[in-house]
Amino acid sequence: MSRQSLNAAFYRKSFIIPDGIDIADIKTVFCEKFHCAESPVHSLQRTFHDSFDWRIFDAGAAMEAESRAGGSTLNWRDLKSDAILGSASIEQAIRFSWNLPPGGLRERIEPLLEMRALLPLVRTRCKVHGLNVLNKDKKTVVRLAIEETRLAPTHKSRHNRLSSTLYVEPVKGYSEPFQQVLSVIEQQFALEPDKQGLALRVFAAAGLQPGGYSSRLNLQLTPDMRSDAAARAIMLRLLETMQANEPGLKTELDSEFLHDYRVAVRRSRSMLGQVKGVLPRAKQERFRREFSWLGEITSPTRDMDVYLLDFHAFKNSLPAPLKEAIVPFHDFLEKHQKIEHRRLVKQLASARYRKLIADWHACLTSPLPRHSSLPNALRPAIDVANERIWRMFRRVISEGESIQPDSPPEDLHELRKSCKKLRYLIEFFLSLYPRNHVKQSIYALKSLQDQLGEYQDLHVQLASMATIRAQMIAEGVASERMLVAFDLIMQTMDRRQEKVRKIFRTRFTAFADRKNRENFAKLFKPKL
Amino acid sequence: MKTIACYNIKGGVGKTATAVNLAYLASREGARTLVLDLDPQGAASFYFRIKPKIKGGVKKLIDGKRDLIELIKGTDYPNLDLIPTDFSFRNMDLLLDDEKKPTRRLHKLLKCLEDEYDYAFLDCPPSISLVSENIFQAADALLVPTIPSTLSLRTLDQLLKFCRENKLDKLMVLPFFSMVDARKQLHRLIVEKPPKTLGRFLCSAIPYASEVEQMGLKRAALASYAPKSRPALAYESLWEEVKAHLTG
Repeated sequence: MSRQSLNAAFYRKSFIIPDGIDIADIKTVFCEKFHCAESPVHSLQRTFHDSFDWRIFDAGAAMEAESRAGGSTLNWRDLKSDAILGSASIEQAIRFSWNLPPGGLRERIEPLLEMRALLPLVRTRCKVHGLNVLNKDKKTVVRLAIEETRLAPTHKSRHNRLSSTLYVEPVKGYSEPFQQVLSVIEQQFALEPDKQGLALRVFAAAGLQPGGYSSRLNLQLTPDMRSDAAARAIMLRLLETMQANEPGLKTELDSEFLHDYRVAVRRSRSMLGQVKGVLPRAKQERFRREFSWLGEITSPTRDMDVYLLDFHAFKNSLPAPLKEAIVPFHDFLEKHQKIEHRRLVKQLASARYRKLIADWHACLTSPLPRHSSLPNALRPAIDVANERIWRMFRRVISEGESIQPDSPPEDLHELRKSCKKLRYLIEFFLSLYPRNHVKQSIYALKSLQDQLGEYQDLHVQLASMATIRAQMIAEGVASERMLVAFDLIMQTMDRRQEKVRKIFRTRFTAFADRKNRENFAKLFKPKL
Repeated sequence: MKTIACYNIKGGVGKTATAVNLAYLASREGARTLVLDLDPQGAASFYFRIKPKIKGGVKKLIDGKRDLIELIKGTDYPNLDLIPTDFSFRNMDLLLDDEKKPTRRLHKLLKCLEDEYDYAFLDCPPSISLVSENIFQAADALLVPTIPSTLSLRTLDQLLKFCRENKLDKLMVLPFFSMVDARKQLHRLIVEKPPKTLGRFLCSAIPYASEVEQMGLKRAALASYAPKSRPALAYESLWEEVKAHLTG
């Protein structure tokens, strides 16, 4: 029997107490009907957490940190059953999953959150009235609790006070009194079950929309819409993604804010470069240059972030005696990450940046002209999408076929860039095609991209590791042992790069096979 | 699930108090915890105010006609459940003897709880018997409360010898001093310098204290009514040590 089935019968039931019913009256009725022990009314603070991109909510749960007189716990509450399926005592706020003590909760959330921070989204204050139903031996056989919840004063909401909730929790092995309590609730108060659950009610009261952010485009375009309107919709969504990530990027809540921001920048650049003839040429050129600048100024911080995220893997690849020797590398990365981040924040506060964002927003939201001399502006979106995707697909095939075992890394880099452009184009216009068929194409492309991406990343990392090595020596922070460890890491990367290079042909052959070509042609080849 | 058996050949050494108090501490930390009362005297069931009775008695359980899961009772504490004992447990030896693999039966029964709990505490009956052998096979650690007296040390010696002779190498035997009366010179001497032949004792020692005896009156875990008392703090320290051994 699984945990789910063992505990399924023992999940608590919750009921909404309407404003007209007095909590004291409910208690009185229970004390008259059952032998009850009342616990002293106590207060607790409950803070609801999630990552910026709602990974906990998307997994069907809420993460609650409860602080009371005896200490604090972090609970994983399943939204469907309302049961706590993981819990850990905590002494301070938990920012990343790796800050949690080892145990079930950490095992559950570590693969889910990865590098994302757990953000405190809504703070509530709660007054708990506890009432235990006892049997003849004074043993608790049903637990009752009435909770009065308010949003903490920091939340500017008109509905700070939520409806009170009555919780009825069964005790294993005592199903009869539980049923009796439920009958009393039905007969005496006719309370409505809380179908939403506290977490969702709290989010709604605080004006939050769970699942409201995703780095995906999630756009619904139509085949016949004007290409300039489709292009603007795509680029506006990308701008929204950049703006949504900007505060977290500046305050460094976690490294994914910068990552998502950069992806939106790259996609915008790609859109401007790939889908021409929908914006006036001068504007298109100016914004392409400006997005290229954004790519440049965000790169150094991202590079440091990537090294820091990979640091444990670097350390683990070393033999035991050298594992500690690499610690100065971590210190170096942290120091330089901070410096680069400060530089980036300065740039994002500059007049050039502010003007870029304001102009870009104005450009994308200005009224569409009824007539246009731009070559692609008035064409149906599906025609432009087919044309661009098909052309890029053919470029990928031709570049891939020309790569030989002795081709320089630069050729693979070019192919990688073309693959990325193709992937972005497919994602931009995803909603114009049958989802299942496009997914197959993306899957085939992704497998090739993964190989090319790893190869290129290793190639770039090896070069910049050599620079960092020299820089650490110059700064006097590199011991002999650290350099040995550092060289070992570089050797491992070098070997890995060779290995990855060897699997290129297999991956490309799979991508370029007849079936995949036919699938691409069927989907994207322009109909003459 | 980690299975911790509170065991001693001798009776009246603090096995039940240890099982109940450590289980309470584990559950308080949020761990899903189960106490299995194997002693027909039913002291653990009594402390948790749960009737020492199971439908069909131990026979149906050993025959496989009933599942351990059906017998679980929630205690007064969140995350802490109990499987109560039954007077028929006194015949467990005889019933086990009729089974195919008589020393592995308890291990097999506990298997179905593997994913349900983080810790299972076995409150074991005194004596060394087929039931004890089942316990040795099922447990990850054998927690042995030992009074610092000559006879108690002798029974610990017997236990260690039994483990050696029966090649129970994987079983972690963790003796600790229990019911230590600082007024008695012999207790003080033994705790300060335990016989080296008996291996290493855990550092935590549980004092002889009236607060522990009150568990029978309060029918509750010690830390729930006297959390700052000396024995409650000693159990906390013992639990930390046991956890360290289980994870180390």
